[in-house]
Amino acid sequence: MDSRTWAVVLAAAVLRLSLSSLFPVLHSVLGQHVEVTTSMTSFKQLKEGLHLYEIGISPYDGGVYHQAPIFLLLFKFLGKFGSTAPNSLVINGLYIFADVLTSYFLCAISKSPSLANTDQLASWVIASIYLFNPLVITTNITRSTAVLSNAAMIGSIAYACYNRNLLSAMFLALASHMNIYTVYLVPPFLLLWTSRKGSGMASGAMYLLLYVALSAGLAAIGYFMTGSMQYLSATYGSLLFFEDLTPNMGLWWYFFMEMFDFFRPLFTYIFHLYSLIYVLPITFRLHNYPLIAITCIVGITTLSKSYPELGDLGVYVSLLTLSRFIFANVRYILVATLVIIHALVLAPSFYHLWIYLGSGNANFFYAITLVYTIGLTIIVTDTLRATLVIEFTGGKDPSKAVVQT
Amino acid sequence: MAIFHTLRRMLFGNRGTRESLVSLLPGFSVVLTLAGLAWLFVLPMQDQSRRTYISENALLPGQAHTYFHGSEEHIVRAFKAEIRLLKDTPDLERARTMQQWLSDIGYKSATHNWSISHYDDIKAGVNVYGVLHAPRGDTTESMILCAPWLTRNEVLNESGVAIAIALARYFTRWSIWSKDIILLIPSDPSFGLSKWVEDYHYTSMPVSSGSIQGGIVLDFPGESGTFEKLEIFYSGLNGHLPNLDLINTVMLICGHMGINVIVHNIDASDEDYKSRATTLVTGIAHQALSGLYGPGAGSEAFSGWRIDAVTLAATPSRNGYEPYDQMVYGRLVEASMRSINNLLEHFHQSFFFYLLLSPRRFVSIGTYLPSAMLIGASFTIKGIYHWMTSSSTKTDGMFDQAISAFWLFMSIVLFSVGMFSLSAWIPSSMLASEAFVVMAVTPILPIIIRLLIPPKPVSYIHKIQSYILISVGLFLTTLGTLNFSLSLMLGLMFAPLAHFLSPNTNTPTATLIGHLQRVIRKTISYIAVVASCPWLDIYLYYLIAVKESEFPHPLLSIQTVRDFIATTSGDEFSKFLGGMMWSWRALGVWSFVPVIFVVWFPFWLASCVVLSVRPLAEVDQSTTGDGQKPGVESSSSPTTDHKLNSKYFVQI
Repeated sequence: MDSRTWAVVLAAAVLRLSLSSLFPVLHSVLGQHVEVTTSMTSFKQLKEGLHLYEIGISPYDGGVYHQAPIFLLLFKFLGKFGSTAPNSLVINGLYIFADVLTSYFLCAISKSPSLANTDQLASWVIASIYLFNPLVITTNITRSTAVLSNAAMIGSIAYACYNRNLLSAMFLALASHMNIYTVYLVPPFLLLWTSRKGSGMASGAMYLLLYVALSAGLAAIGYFMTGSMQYLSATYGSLLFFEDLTPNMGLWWYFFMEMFDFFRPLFTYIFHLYSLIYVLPITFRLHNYPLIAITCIVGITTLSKSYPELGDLGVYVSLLTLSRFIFANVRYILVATLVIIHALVLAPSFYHLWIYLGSGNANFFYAITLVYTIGLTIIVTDTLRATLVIEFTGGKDPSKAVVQT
Repeated sequence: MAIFHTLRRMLFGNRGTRESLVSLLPGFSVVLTLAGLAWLFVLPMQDQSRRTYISENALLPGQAHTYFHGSEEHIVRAFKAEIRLLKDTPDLERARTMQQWLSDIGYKSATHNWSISHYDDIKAGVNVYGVLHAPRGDTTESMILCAPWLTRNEVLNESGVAIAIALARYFTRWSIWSKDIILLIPSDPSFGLSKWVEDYHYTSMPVSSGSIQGGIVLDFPGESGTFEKLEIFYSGLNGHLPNLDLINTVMLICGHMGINVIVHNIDASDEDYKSRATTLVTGIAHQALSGLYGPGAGSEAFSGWRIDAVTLAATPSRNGYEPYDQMVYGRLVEASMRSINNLLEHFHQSFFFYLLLSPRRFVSIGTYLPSAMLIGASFTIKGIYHWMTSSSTKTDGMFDQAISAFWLFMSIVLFSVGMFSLSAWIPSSMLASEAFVVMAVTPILPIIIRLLIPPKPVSYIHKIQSYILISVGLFLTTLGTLNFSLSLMLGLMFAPLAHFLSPNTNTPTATLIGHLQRVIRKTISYIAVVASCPWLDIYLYYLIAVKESEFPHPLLSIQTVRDFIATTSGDEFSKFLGGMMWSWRALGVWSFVPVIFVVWFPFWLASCVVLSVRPLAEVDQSTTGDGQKPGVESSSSPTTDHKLNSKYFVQI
């Protein structure tokens, strides 16, 4: 990282620190916004779980805490160094570190040997696109634990780019332990390892083995911490069966709120199938562009997961900037960006109309989440198309492809 | 295909498809603005609106017989006499006396001291209220009967308070109430009332009740006890309106009782296009500017708390014309309270977003929203046009340019936010001086900008303009869903900036016509920027709306205008600005003062930059940036353009 990147990192850290210490109310205000943090990542619920855990009650009793046990361990450990209040120094340090780490990993990906012959933005630009993204900053201020799981996810990608088998598997296991949807990245990762020259199959198998072993290890830690496997149903179970119907930016809540109970299993199945179904085709189709395959899967997950939040979009945008060369062929990015920005501004105002003023209703907010999803879908399909055009033209001169299509 | 090609050549000459489409955008944007404006005037047409109807069946308006007459009139008169005696007593003593009355008639009563201050500007008063616990309820729900001590015109609300207390006394005899009745007599209809509502929800009051479902505010000044017409005020703060069912209920009961009801002071008895259009436009102005200056009608203090309330303002009879008796007014309130009492759940069935065209006609959000949205969209389209224009030139470092333009734009916004904090922080008495300083700086602002900011490439200026317009579009669309009227008004105010402001160009002009065109364009740009200056517009609003009566209509000479400005710009203008700040500080009207500072002012300032910054002489570039035909003559092929543009789109 050069001096300019360090300056960006420093500025981002100072910005986060000053936002949370000068405006402590931001955390509680933004924390109430369902677009920014969900019950799967909420810091408030984490604190409740932590409290229950510390006084010796299982945090997974009572259906408040839905996050991985590893967070309890981490925050209990951090509690030894000071208060774990949302705006305390320790928590500030942890979240700033997580974001800086993510930006470091992003820069590392752009510098990795596998992307060496592609056109990449300067490190400081990549870092500032991530660190100064309002979505990322907001997510950070609300202390959503997605900040940590996203750091782990980007870390696993970065280490995969540098052929670091163990570290990549470790980060991936950690990320999928914190956020089960990261499992979707396992197929592209396996493909990435098996397509290595030389010992392809062996290193792929090794990677899978490491991943499974480390995940099992993390699961075991959870078991030993809480003394039972109850946490599985409280965390992954409640996510898979969509037990919490609080509104969010996703497509799920409205359907499941309206639905008769006997349809729930069918639609749970269909909704999960919808988010899962793209993983393998994209992995195989884009096997020459593993990073784009990963980016696409992250994008599709962002729009189809059960509890999406805006921080996911921030990560997706940052991942996109790493595949800069496809942007010579995108068509609707300006329109899609404007659609998403409009949706992001309208969503809180419709939520306000619905929940606080009582003059709007759920349809307002749901309509805007649909618009948001449309914008995101345009970006995902557009970048996918752009990649295929480049593949078709052999990646030689992308601008030619525009004329032909 | 051949036809298509011929058609395209006829329309656009030898340009690429992208250029052709981009060059259509400004025209499209103008069409959208005009369409939005035209839409507004389609609304009052006969077939565009609907007759109001009661949507919530539980309300049963006017179904119950009302008994507030006969001997009750003596009680009203007695209370009126007592109130007259209290007219000049100090606040606290008056409140104590009235609290005693409420206790005597069987209400749990209390006083509520309130004060809000900002430096030496202190507003304070004492509210009185009492609660009658419902014989058939469980104290979880209540409805409010409110008669401010002063009316919206700051005169004694003599009949209003007397009727309210007499009604409250009369209500104790009924066993039909399923919601608690709160009788509230605030010391004034704006700050005192809104402070009471705030404290009712946020603090623990000595006497309390459940969630307030609805409210009626009584506004009936004068001793006479008769009134000639009844006006209904319903506009809330920040564009919030009470549920249409409440208004309809009152209208229907009025119809049963034969009372002539008007809205927005427009007599719509002979309903025609003109009266509907005037009602619509006045309604829009009321909604956009409610709570800004002077005390409100009272009902708007309840907005934002999920309380639907209307003010029934009676105009006392003059010249012996006495069509309606005060007891009719009392029975109207009684019947309305009976209807609110009938509610099984909170008002929700009918519309929350509507515009009234007459007491009995309305347009709903689906019909009127396109108007503001079209105007909002026209800004976005024009912004996209400027963006496309600025990125169609072959310049290196486009990305840096976009970022640098963005930083300039952001720093202007931050500066305005700073101005806002400053204005909210300084004493109200200094606001006029601040406004004066700002107004004094405004004319020389273009010169300062010209000197301070070094020449920029034309595409840079286009970028700034596209940031402005896209942000305005985004803001107006969002505001349109919260406060349609304000969005519409601001949209029309910003419209000149979108359509008539063309940035400086460095096109070499040799011909006389070329120079002339340039001068004309420049002049129009100047006029557009001056016309949309927030300070100027606020001052004009002050002159026209607030000081209308003193406006020198008949003999308009320089002397009268000078006198007028001298008399209106001193203390009173300061009070006016102070009132605006108070509306934000105490009433929470975020939709005006913060909007001026955080949206209007920065956008206007950025437009000043667009207007006055010098364009950089770019020799190596083919000419672009001409307001109307950008990038068209650019020598670069569409393919490269496309590649260049799309490359940079994502990075912002």
